[in-house]
Amino acid sequence: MNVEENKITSETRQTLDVAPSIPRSKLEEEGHSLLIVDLLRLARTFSYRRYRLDVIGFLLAWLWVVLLLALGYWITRIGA
Amino acid sequence: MGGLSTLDLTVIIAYLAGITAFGLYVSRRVKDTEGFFMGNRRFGKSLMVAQALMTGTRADYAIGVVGASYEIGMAGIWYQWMYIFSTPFFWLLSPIFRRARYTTTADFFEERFSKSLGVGYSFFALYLFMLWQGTIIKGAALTIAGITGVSETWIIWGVTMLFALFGVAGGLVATVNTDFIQGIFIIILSFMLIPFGLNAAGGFSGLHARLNPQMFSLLAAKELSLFTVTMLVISGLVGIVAQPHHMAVAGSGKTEMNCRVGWCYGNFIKRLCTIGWALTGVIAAALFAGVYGHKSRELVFGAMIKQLLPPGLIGLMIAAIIGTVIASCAAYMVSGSALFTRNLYKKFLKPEAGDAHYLFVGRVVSAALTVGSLLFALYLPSVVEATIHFVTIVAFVGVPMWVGIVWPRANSKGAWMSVIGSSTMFFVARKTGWGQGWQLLSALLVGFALAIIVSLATRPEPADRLRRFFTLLHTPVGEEKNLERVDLKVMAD
Repeated sequence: MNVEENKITSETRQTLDVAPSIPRSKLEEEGHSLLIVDLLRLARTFSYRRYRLDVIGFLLAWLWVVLLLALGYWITRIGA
Repeated sequence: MGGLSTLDLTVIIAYLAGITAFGLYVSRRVKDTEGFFMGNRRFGKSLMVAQALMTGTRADYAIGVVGASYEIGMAGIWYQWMYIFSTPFFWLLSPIFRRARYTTTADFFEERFSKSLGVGYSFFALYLFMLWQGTIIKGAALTIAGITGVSETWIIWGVTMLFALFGVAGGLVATVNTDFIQGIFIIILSFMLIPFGLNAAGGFSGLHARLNPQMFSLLAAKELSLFTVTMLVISGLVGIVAQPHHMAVAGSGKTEMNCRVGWCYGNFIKRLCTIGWALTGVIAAALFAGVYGHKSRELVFGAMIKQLLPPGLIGLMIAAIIGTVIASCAAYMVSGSALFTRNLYKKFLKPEAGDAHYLFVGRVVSAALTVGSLLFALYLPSVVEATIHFVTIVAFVGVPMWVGIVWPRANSKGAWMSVIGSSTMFFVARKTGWGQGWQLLSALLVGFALAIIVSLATRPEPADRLRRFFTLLHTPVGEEKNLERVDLKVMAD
């Protein structure tokens, strides 16, 4: 491994460990953490308590999708 | 005038006078660029819902879906429902836009990747804004000219003057405040024709008796197969983050919850309206069978208004169409001028001027963008083709944005190669004659693969840049003291 490659590897480690340098957020720990931002770290970080707002809102939104699809389908069946 | 009664004209004039006066009244509050471009991030839930509904709901969408459903049946709904499966993700994405605290999407590319990517995105976004405005104006003018007999050119100029007056004077504040009123008009526009059309067609059972059962299927093998719909849905989700006006639509709320509710549920109302448009198209198929061909199908919306609605309601419908044009175009114009002023003019031409100067430049650019959009309107083949064109190209830019948010290792070189590679792949696949779904799939796969491979093969972004970016995303609105503690300046301030 040459010097340039060594440098890249070291910078990569720093990059992937960028999270620890971020100030601790009380709101994030109480449900305001963001699923998409933490997507690649979810296996380690996921808990319902941390992602409460994202989880509840996302599931509720999918319920609306199902309702709208059902409404669309129902309209095509009226009078058939 | 043309086919309009005195009552229709009175409704239109009263609407236009009222909405202009209201827009100018609320615009008195605009004193600086942050107010002009982002409404000082003070909007509540209801205004955010109205903004998302109106910015994302345009008369040309209704015209396109009605035209498509007239030809292929209820499946025409997918030209707008392609975003229905993306909508739950708006709940997850809007706090990211709000927390980033940027004014434009170009700020995102510049702060996360590099200045060159920010500049590249700015030019791409200006192209998109002009394309969108051109499509909207063309669609509305086509319909109104069909109803009234007034020259399309006159309608284009008249409507353009109105939304330019709005946007230039009041920026986002005027646009969002009038969106609330115009939101009511878009719902009127979406459902008003249905009872009249059903009455003429003999109700739902009359519709089924007159039309082929395939017209009631949500999938149409002829134009929109399951695979094509799936790829449009995926492209829609990938590209949604990169649509340039979404930084304002999703990020101008006072709180993160306001942004979530506004963007997500404003769009659910739009999906509901889309059912109305598709049903209107199916009714049109029963009433105007064989009158319009593939190329002229978008004229059927105007024909239905003219033949089905009584005097007074025709005027109300025209007012609703003009309302959507004003709301959408003014919002795009404000976002476009924010991009130019902040990401090009301020950075490269005059970095040290005062805020009043940038506000003036923002207003001049707003007017210039409007002129550009008029030129675009002349060359667009059809509303649906313009929609597909923008869904496709915006997805190429969406790939690096997604990768940049979820993967700290992604870098500027990977982002550039992703955009270049996916657009090249798309145009090669298109020239080779691949189906629409395969064109989209191959382009997206190449885009994601290049973003990852090139990023891994080259140096990551500097740690300080990444720390700044991810600190913002991990600092909820309301905890700004955490940013001060690490000496992180918010870009929009």
